Amino acid sequence: MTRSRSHFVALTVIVLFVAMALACATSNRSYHRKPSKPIVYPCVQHAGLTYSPILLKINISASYNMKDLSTVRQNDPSIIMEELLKLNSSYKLADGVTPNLVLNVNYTNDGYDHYGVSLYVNWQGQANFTITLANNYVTGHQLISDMAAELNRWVVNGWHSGNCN
Amino acid sequence: MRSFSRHRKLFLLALLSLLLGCVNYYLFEPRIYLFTLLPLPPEKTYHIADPFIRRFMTGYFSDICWCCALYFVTVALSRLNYLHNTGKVIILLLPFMVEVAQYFHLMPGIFDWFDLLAYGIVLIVFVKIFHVVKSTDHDKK
Repeated sequence: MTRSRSHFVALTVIVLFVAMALACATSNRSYHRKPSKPIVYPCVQHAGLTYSPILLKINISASYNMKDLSTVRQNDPSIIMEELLKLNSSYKLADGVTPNLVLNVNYTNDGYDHYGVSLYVNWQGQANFTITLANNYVTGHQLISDMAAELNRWVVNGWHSGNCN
Repeated sequence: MRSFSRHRKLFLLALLSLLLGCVNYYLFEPRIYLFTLLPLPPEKTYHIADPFIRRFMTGYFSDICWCCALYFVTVALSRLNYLHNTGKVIILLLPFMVEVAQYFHLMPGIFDWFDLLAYGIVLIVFVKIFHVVKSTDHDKK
């Protein structure tokens, strides 16, 4: 067995297994949404939601390759609910009924383990608003707590949607 | 003949490890590039109730299977005398190098200290059981 032949075999094994590692990298395909062309709606002011319960549906995604997205999807809705219920007891997860608010939670990361979130809130498919928290967080708990506080402020005091400039 | 059969077993074990890793990805973490290329039925992610086992299965099990497959192939090839020590050492360190490449964003994927720990444990087990790295006559020359 010559040394060059040994190197060739080693190189083949390395290339093969690196290719496998690349093929098994997590794809973003389910979570990248191509931004559609924005439709400009007239400015509409919405009063806060005073009824109870406010039924929520929570969708969780990430704008980066989150290692354990399925676990986050299992755990975070209950953590978000817990934080919201500390502020307002009207919130409830919609279970088998049409939700009042759909929360699309998209976690972001600056590549240096600083986290942020973009929360797109859809009120019965008509009046939407977005809350963005910059990538300044190091703990998920603080991020969720601040997101819940901000969301509750909008829900209680009301919000506006459409082109209000 | 007996020796060939033993090597074949090692290659089969490598294949089995890779297969296990793939099945695990398909069941618990189907968002990998490989599955976007294959005409597989629509993915359905299964849920494991226990958070520790769930984290292990979604985050580490397939990586460990990949590492084991690599080491089974290395053992088989070195016993067939197709690899010298330099090649063996580079291959044995490959999982660590891949992880470092992920840390520096040279490769897609997520760097994780626990991956390094798992690879370290697998490496120690393989070196102890199979005596993968030992000086051969050829290397002494």
